[in-house]
Amino acid sequence: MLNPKNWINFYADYLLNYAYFRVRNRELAEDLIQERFISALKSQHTYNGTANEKTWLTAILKNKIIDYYRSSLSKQSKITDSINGNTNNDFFNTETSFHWFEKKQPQDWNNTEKSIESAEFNAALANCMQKMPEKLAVVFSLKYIDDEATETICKEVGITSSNYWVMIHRAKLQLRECLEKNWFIK
Amino acid sequence: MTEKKDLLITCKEATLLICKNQEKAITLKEKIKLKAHLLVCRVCDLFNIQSNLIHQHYTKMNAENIETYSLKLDATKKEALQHHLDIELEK
Repeated sequence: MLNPKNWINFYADYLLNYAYFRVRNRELAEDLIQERFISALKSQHTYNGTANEKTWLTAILKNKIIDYYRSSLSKQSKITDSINGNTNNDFFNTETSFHWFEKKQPQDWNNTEKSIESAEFNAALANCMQKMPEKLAVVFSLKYIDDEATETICKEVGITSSNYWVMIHRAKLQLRECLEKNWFIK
Repeated sequence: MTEKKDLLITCKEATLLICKNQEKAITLKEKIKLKAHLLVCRVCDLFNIQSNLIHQHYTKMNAENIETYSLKLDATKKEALQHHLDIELEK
């Protein structure tokens, strides 16, 4: 059973965090959850009772976020330019048959006291996620936070599978580098 | 000879294959090429170890359902939103 009287109390904070982690803009996250509560209310009849209330609300919010991603991605024509081949050459030197640029090479983290297990690491990770360009963050979060199938992501976001790999590749190169600079080796 | 040459991949290709390997989207042939590269390339080997570490962290975070942010919606905004919902409910 749905109980809209309790929605705000029970789920507003949870959904705000959920949206913020994905769109990385507080104002936008708040707008999205507001819109979602209203439209959830209007689509109550689609609730079939199999999922719990929280899961159901999260699923509607997720669809809204994907809509937002899609419209924001289609506005950025540069995306297709940057995912057509030449990307990631800022990490690898075309003149030395794609060896790492020296300043881009991963450093050994073993000599540092910093651990991935600490609570502060999560803050560093969140910061690095914020620094990721939006189009990458979108694809990366769908995969790594929402655990969506690659095919689904490509379909939802409207990219080809080879675009997907270029984006994941880039996201990981950037995220690793950012964590190294902002956490492991400051 | 050509087969031997086929085994050689660049660091750019190797790191892409590392990403594919993490998502189990790698072919056997690619896996062999990657292994061969990692044996001789310490930098890519480090990238492999570190990005696996990050990958595992995400998996763990998802499994334990950790909230990475702990934002709260303002009480006044909650009230306004609740009010809005109440009006809609009465319709």
